[in-house]
Amino acid sequence: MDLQQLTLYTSNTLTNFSIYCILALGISLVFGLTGLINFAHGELMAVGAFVTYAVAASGGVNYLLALVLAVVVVGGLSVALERSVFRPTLKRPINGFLVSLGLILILQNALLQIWGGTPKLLEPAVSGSFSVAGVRISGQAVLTVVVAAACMVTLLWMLERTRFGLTLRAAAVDRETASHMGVNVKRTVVVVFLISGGLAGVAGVLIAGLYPISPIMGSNYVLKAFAVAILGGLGSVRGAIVASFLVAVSETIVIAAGYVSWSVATSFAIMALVLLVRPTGIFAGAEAKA
Amino acid sequence: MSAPTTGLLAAVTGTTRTRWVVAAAFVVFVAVLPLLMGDNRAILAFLILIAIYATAAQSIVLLYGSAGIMSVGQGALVGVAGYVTAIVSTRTELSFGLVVLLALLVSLGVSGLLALTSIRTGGHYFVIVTFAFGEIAVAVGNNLDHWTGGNGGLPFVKPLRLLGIEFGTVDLVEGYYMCAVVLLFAMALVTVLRAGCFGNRLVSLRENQKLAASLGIDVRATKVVVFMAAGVFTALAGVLWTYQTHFLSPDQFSPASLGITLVLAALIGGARSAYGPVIGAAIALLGPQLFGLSPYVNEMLLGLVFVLVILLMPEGVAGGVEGLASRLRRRRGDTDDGPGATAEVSPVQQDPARTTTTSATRAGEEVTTR
Repeated sequence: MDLQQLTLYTSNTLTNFSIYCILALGISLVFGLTGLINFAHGELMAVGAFVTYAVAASGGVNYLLALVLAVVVVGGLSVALERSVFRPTLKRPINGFLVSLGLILILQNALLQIWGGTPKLLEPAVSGSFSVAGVRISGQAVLTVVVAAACMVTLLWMLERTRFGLTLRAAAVDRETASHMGVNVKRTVVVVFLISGGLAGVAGVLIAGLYPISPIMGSNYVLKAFAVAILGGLGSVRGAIVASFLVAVSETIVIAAGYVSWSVATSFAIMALVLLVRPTGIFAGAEAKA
Repeated sequence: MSAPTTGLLAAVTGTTRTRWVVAAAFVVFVAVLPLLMGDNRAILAFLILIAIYATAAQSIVLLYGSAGIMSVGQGALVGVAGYVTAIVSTRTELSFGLVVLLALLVSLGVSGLLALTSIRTGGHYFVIVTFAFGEIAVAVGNNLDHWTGGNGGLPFVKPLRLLGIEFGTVDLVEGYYMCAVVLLFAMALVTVLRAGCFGNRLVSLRENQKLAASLGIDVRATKVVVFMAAGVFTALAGVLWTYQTHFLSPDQFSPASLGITLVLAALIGGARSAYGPVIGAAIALLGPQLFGLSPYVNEMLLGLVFVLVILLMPEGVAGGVEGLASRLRRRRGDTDDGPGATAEVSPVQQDPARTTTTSATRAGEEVTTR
């Protein structure tokens, strides 16, 4: 394997890591607080990707506009869904999961109705690549990793260093007790859905910059993100970051070994194995919730 | 702790007169339906599909309706049985009966393996494990293309030989009756399983696993057994699928496709009654056709119906009708239906209380483990 190939694998691993992580964080945050398994998270991501298609199909500076717009649109959509359909299921999270199955149908087919089923490839925001020490690196990949890293750092800072983070973690441990202590639980849930939706929007924009997008792309990504979130222990932010790195690396290894068509199953196989050995994921228990 | 007691009572469905009358009426309805439809092949094809989906969705009635276990991997199990049927009957000369037996054994075995993971992972995690199981099954199907035809699919045109009679591969009326008989058998089986001692054990799992274990119920063994029992329905549906649709492709059985549709069918109709999946499958498959809108809008409407059913009628259409009927009976002061029918409604009313208890217990566990 020459240096160029190694760089390609590394950059693919890092971009996949970024996307899985951003998605898994959104899933993990919502689960940590409400116990809701939201399978429609992938469709929220697809909405973000199509926002990008609508405003930045030809790439360029519009991509940054798409980033902002996707956060606003998908974050808003996520809050709207929380207030309309998820809030009544707060007492029975399994019903929330079932509702999310219905939402998959609604959102996915709305996208199909508007944009049709043909996959669409967008122009990258940063065209071309640049060379470092004789190795070519794609500019779009660098942008993806930078945006994702910014999201992760901001989220960690917010959860661990701000007052809101404190109330969120308190509510995640025990909603009722936290509300007796003066935490506005309803507002906290709304904000978490806003953050989760915003992250899904960002993930959609990042994917649209790298791969062809289609309205049915959600389920594939959301499953990987769930595998990651479970591996890391649902509700654990640091766990999600480590687990998405593990999954991205193992997928690259499977692809590099020549089993391209099996790469889809890799993350699920890892997840199933980990769950059998340690049912709460790698980090749950060792980490404070959310 | 009155909630689990009411739940246990709810499992005693009782074979009262009304239930027998409804069952007989349903059998007659199923038997004469093709006569009413005349020679409309499109409608017959739909009825066949409804019967196949409803048969498979009986597994959700057993797993979720009785034992409270949600699985989106049942679609993949239909696929496993379907592929076993197709591959064995094209490549060997085994008789139809043996092929069905083999499909049944494989489906039961795979179901049992899936159940073993549910022993370690509870509730929320398990739903996702079933999703992952389904996706792995699809990946296996796509990769073993020498056997399965890969994602190009596997056509199947072999006629069905049963008791020396050869059934045509094109006659939809024969196909309909074959599916209808299997569906009725599946409905009877699920009703018997739910009503008996086994059904009570399942309900005790749903209501409170710790309490069930303390009463001497082997929670692990029961989970494995209920999954294998559910595997019977997916196996039957898989055999029907192969012989009736004449085509298999791994993606059809993925959790995001058939897996979710089976859950939709069972829950729209009602997962606590054998009739539920039939009503649900009919709504899910026929409903969208009635409006004549674009297929995408149809699917959106189906999603909307599902969301509304979950939020407003958690017991599904069948549960809603049953609840209404028993409320009417009570108003008239008619007690002929015994306590079984009224108890069927009470879990709905008990639900909020029950979930608070379980979530409180769960929070308690977390505190102690930390």
